[in-house]
Amino acid sequence: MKSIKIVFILSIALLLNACEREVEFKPGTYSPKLVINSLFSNETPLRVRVSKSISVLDTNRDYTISNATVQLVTTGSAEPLLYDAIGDFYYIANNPIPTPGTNYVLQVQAPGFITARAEAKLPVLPTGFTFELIENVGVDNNGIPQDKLIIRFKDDAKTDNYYRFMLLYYSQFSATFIPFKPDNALSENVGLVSNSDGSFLLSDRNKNGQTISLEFTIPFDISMETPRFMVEFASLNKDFYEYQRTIAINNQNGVGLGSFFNNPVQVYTNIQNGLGIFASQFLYRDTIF
Amino acid sequence: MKGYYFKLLILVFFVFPLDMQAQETHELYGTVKNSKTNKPIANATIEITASGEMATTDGAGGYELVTSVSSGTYNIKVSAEGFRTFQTTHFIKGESILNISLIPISERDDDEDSTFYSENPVFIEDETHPSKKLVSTPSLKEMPYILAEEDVVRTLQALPGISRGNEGGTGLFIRGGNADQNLVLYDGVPLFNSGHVFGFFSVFEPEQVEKVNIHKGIFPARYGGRLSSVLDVKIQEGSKDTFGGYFALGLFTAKVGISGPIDAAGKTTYTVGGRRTTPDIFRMLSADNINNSDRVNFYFYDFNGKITHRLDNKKTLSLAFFRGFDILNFRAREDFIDSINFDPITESLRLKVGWGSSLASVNYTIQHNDQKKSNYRLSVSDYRLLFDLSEERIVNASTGRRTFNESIRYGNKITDYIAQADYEQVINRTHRLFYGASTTLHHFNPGEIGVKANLSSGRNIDTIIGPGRRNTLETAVYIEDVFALYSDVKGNLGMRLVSFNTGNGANQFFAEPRLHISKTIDSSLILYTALGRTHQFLHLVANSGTIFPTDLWLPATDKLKPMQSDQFNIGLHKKINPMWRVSVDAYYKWMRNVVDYREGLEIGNILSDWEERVASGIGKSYGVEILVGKTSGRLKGWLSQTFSKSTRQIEDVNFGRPFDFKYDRPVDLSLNISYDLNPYHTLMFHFAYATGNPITLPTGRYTDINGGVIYEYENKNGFRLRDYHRLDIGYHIKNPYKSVGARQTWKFSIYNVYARLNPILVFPDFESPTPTLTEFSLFNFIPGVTYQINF
Repeated sequence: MKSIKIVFILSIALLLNACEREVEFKPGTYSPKLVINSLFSNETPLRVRVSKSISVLDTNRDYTISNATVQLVTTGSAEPLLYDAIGDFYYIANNPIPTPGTNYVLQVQAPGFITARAEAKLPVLPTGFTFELIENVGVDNNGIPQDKLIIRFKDDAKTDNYYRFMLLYYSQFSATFIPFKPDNALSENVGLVSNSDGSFLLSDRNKNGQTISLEFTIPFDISMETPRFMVEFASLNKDFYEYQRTIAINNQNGVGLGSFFNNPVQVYTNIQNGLGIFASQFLYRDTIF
Repeated sequence: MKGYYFKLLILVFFVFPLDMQAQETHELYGTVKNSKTNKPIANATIEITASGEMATTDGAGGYELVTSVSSGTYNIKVSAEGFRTFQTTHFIKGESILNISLIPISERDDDEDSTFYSENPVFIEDETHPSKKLVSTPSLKEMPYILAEEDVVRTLQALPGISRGNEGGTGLFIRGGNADQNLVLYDGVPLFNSGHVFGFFSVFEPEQVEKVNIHKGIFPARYGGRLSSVLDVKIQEGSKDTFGGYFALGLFTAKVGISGPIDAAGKTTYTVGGRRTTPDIFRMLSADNINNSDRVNFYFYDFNGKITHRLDNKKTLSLAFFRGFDILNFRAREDFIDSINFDPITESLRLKVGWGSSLASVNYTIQHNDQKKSNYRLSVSDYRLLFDLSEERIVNASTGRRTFNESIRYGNKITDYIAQADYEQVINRTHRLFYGASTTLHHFNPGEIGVKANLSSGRNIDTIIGPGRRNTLETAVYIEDVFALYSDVKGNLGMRLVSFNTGNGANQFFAEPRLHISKTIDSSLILYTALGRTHQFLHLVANSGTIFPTDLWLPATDKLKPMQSDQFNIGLHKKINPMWRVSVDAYYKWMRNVVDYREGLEIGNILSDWEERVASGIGKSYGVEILVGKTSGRLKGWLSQTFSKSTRQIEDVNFGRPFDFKYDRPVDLSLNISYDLNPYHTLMFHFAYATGNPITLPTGRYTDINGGVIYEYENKNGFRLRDYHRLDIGYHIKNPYKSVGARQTWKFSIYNVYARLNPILVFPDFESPTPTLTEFSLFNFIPGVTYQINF
């Protein structure tokens, strides 16, 4: 019996003798691209960061570009953006706040690169927000009481809409609101993508025109201060949703290189001839006492 | 490439001269069997018609015919009482083997062209169906197999146009189609999961298979519901005359089967068989390596059976069933003392995962007369995954014993309920009609999670969550005319009309015209062409080329439209001489609504909004397939070569740009050779070469809006793994022990003889100062042995 066992174990060992081997990676010649990162909202002026992509084999890791020309085109007129060397970003003189409905077109040129272009429009906010905090809805595994927070809003049936929201609790210790990331948010709120900063993304594709309800189970003792919570809600344009969604999944996959169970993620971009994102969001905040 | 052709040339020059021997007299030997039951036929006569020399088979169906005719090609006539007389041409030189299967006179071959086949041709071309291949059961024994376990699917993978997916897997990727696009019929009933151990073994037991038809291209209108191909596996009926069976023991599996008549008159026959992993894989390993209270165990089993009852000379009733399951068990237990209350606590965890397919059917056949046949079938087929995780905590406190437990059960399941009626009618000498109707209720339960808990807080939970069950209904009617316009022009013109109801709305209607036509230029050359349309109303959401328990069958919906394919084939089939034949197929296939994951599938979340997580688009596939076969003589085999391209274009994948299909293989070659050293010893070689699978690797990196680093994947599947190749060797010894009153075979094999490390994955590391890729290979050199007895 022992010899049979040895033969079997040897056979298993041979069968499962998975092997690893290091090989050289030859991706071919890589052409760096302009990378544009810009997010504007109803609260913040438009700022643009410009950098470049580099080959994965480049060990220098220098992404900077300091000689780019950035222009913003609105309603047919082009306005050059100024460069802030300290903050390493480009901005519009006088820092105007973007307005809903305006189409913003960004053009970036730099020596040695193809001109990159992108456009974005500020979305509008949905209506009918309500928040409901129900105390003592149950107990957790350790017998500690739990509360429930329900956020409701009405989706606009005429358009494809994309949202991001974040729940923050007030910490007296730091006197700030801190993102709260309940473990059960995904299972209780189907169709959400979680970001590493504690926010969640939601598309209305399955809930078009409906009243969307999001429920969070909250431990009783997480915040006894007042105001207890703040809800940060944003209506996103589709480009920013796709960008955030793919980045979130990219981060969940670990180092972003995929695995046996997850395909590598091609992070979304709306930059023609380049990479990155030129996006917008309409922000809304409210506190819950 | 140069290296592979060099190895191929060495192999060809090394092996082929073995056949070039010269002798004064010649010996023809072999066996004669019943094509239906695979049982030997005694007292069959084998005659060389030119010389009149004859031999008669013994009780084991064997014969030896020593002849003094000069070497050359001769007509051979084989006859036996109760069987159709079979004639073939055979090249006689030195010692040569001719194994024959005879068709019983009382049986009617249900192939429309009543193809005769001897055992020697490995793959039989069908004149009216280009791209159809009929695999004779004995030919399955003429290849070396991994672990010396014969496998129907691995033989098919050696055909042109069929690739295997990943290393060791039994997935079938046919002409650029995905594995879910194959209609796998187990005795006429669709089978969802055709693999064990993540696809390492297929579920088909060769000893129980009567024959295998595979349609790689346009298939007849009687088949439907899948996009790319039909794999029609017919299971043997039990013999009306004698009891028989088989038993085989290998390193990993043991299998047994018996068949025979139930009553003396042979009106009712049966065949049953089963297979199971011999040791429970990992159990023996885990017992030594893990704490004794922990156990991990994996095994699979399948069993099948068929009972056939002849009500009278015209009516037959049969019942068939199959079940194949893989089971993974894990148990862990820990005893400790609570550090606060000092109470003894026992915590245990138990995980059980099981997945597999089951099917059952009742079949009623009426052979009205020589011109008309009717067949009615009711069947049910399912695939299910069960995941059961439970935890228990027992506190032996001084105040009493308290038990707390939690369990999570997850299951997904698809069940098909099918009713069908098929008719076959000979109209005249030039027209034969096939017509019928079928209706299939697809019942989907794409993922229910049941949670039960008795918590320490005293709270009890008992709830079920999930996306909900769904039914879809697929109803089809079809008609086919198998015609002969002239004696040299034959064809099959068919139409299949399908009504599909997603369960949410009105019926949708789809038409599927099919046409095959062939012309015989002379008796040895056949030209053929075909075109047609197919639809598929199911999608398989899977994450790998192998069969994983997480595979999820989902319905076409109003959003995710049914897949559609149009295909055009053209080809030729040439019999160069009685021993050699060559066929060439070319095809172009357009696919619509093929699905792929949107960026970054997360298995855990696929249940919640699966329609959102997959995207659909178009696919294209085209290629040329060449098959060269030597079908008789001591040395037999075939060389298959495919040149092909398969791409996908999906709006939400690869930025909407076309990309190579996951299993696109521009070059795929297979060389199979078997050489009979003598009647009892056979040596086999199998060499495979293929372009490496496409993979996605980053080319650049950049910073995101938050300052993090992102890898840039310019093209999905833009890189290739290293080319794949390996050589397998097999050796069979027949009847080694004369004292055993049954046929026995020792089967030896070595998989991947030269231990080629064929990568299946690469792990990039671009964070280290020196960027590297690490290739991961699954198998290298694997010996195998099986002992089999047929009685």
